[in-house]
Amino acid sequence: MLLVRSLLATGFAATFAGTLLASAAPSARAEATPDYAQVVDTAVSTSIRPGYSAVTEAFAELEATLAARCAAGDAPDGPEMERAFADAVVAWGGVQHLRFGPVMEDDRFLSIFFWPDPRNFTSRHLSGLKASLGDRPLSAESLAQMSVAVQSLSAFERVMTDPEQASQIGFPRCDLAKAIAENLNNKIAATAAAWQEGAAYPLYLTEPGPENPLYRDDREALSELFKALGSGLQFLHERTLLPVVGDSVEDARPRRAAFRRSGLTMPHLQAMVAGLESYYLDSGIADAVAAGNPEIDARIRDRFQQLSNTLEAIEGSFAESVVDPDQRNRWRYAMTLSEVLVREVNGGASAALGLSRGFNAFDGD
Amino acid sequence: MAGPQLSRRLLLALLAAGAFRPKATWAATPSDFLAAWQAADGRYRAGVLSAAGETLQALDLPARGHGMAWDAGGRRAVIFARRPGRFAVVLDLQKGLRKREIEAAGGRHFFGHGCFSADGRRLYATENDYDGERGVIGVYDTDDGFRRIGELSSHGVGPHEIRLSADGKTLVVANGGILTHPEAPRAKLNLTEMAPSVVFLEAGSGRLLQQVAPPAELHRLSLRHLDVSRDGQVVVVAQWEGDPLAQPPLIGLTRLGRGLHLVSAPKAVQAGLRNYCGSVAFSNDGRRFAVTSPRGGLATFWRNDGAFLGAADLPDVCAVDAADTGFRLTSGEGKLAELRDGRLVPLDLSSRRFDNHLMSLTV
Repeated sequence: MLLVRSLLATGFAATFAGTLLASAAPSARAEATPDYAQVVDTAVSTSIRPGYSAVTEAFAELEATLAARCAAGDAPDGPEMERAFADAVVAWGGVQHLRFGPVMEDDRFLSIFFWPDPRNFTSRHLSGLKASLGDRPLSAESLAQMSVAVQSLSAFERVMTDPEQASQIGFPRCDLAKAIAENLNNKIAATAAAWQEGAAYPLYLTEPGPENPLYRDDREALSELFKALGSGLQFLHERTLLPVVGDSVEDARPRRAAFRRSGLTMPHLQAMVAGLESYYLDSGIADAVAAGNPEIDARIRDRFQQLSNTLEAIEGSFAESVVDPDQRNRWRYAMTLSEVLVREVNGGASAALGLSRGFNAFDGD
Repeated sequence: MAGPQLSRRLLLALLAAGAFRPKATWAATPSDFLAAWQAADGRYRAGVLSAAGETLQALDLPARGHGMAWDAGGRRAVIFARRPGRFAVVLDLQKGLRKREIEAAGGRHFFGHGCFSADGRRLYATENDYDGERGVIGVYDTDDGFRRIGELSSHGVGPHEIRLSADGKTLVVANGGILTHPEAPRAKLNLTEMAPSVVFLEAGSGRLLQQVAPPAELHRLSLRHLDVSRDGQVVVVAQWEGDPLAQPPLIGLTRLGRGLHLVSAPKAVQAGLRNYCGSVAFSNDGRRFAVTSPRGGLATFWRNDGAFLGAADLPDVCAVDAADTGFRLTSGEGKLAELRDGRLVPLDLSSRRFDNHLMSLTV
């Protein structure tokens, strides 16, 4: 926790070492420092790159399926399209916690996943798309210059599932779906490319130093990767579950759920959980946590397992299940588990790795 | 710098004259400061600490606190909820008691900052009219139980820190430019259309006197925190929402009648700010200012013409304000320090996780 970077910090360390050791502040100084660089390497090669490859494949397949249907004169809907879209949403759910690095450049993240959308920007901006484009023809490139709300998976879902609204936007439905799918493909392909070996961003992570614009040392690089786990769990608990599932049947707001129109809320949610779990396990973070504190690692593994099992056990559609008194216990348990995971990852696991998640440093105040 | 100016001499004179008639034994002394923190047991608290870090007054908050304000008479302080919170707590500085809680109006939430009018009769708070998708300044009558008596437009989205200028008539507000909605707590809804600004408003009427903004290519520079010096100079600091590899200037200087002059630190220090400034304060004499970056664990010091003077490492540092001796700083790891003559002097380490802001009670 004390990364001594200067004489000033050393001054603090010397003056307060006694107080610090006696205080309740989390300290991992007793344990051996994990090999941060090793964990970063493992995370990039065994978790992040394969994750983005899977999304790239799924988005390409969505575009291909769509092209085949449109070429045959069919509408951009039906079981084949739904299957391809489901694969794309599930693949995305698996990497959605990676909210740093290349996916944050050029608005790629928001262009792919624009949610929550309490102001219904998706619908409003789709309705205004023709006017916003003006003289420019509709294409993946022109769409990329528009609001992120018209580019996202949710915009595609709208066009696929709501022929009536789609027909009022002012473009042939196939053209609109194709522009969105191609743009999604471009965004994810650019993200995946920027993670490949030899590209700049992974080098920033693996070769930190004083000249590195993003990371000064391996600890900072791992902090970035680790933060994604805690933030991803927090997003799961605070934004995905709480405001939608609610504390009670009366508080449930299933209409706010992501991908409700395509009935993919539950698969997306499960993909997020699976993505977070495998990020924890496969990235080397779990092993490093276990080396510092085996109990906390065992608890985190167990919670993830229980969370997956609980979601698996929920019966009926998402929208029905959250207002079904018989299913509420399961939802309540899932929310408790996600809350506990946030606490254990940001608390115990963070301390076991010798990382301190800044109290003031983590979101825009 | 802490809101209204009240010199130690004046305070002592007023105290001697019995102007405040404190009923308790304690009254704010010139070196005390307001702070908000999370205690070791997890409770969110706020109160008054001594320069050495002793807790002089403290109360529990319903949730995490953020910014604060105190009135010219030194009688009352207000601690605002962190966005998108709906409470503000009024602290009676003389009795050391919770005086009342202000609840945000329907359809509004607090953004976390506010300030008193020069005469202490009004409290101004930055608020979100989230369904109207616009920022407002809530106006409260402090003599009438902090009743909300109206609101002014902030002429932007996401107004964050607000200060009363030294003339006592002009409100200066940083519009962060980011659209948020409480149903999607802390999600940023409009990054592609951000339009941050600093506005100068006539406090009485809300009339827009001046608006300055970064150039179009820096429209993702979310201007959040600011301070005003005794002679009306404004320093505003930003959080960059654009390309993470870009290193835009994060600090702007302006004043009524002038544009926005953006400045950067030397390259290595600029990188250390991690594109995220958390707080800013002028020194008492207004000739220097300090800017903190919690993400970079860095406190930087500047001359008021924008010349970079130096930097000091302090992990998770954020809160900063002027102190008699220079600047006072606190960190999320419980450290309290002062910057004296360009040197960081540690004063205390506690289990408190200090929140983003502090405010010296008399400067």
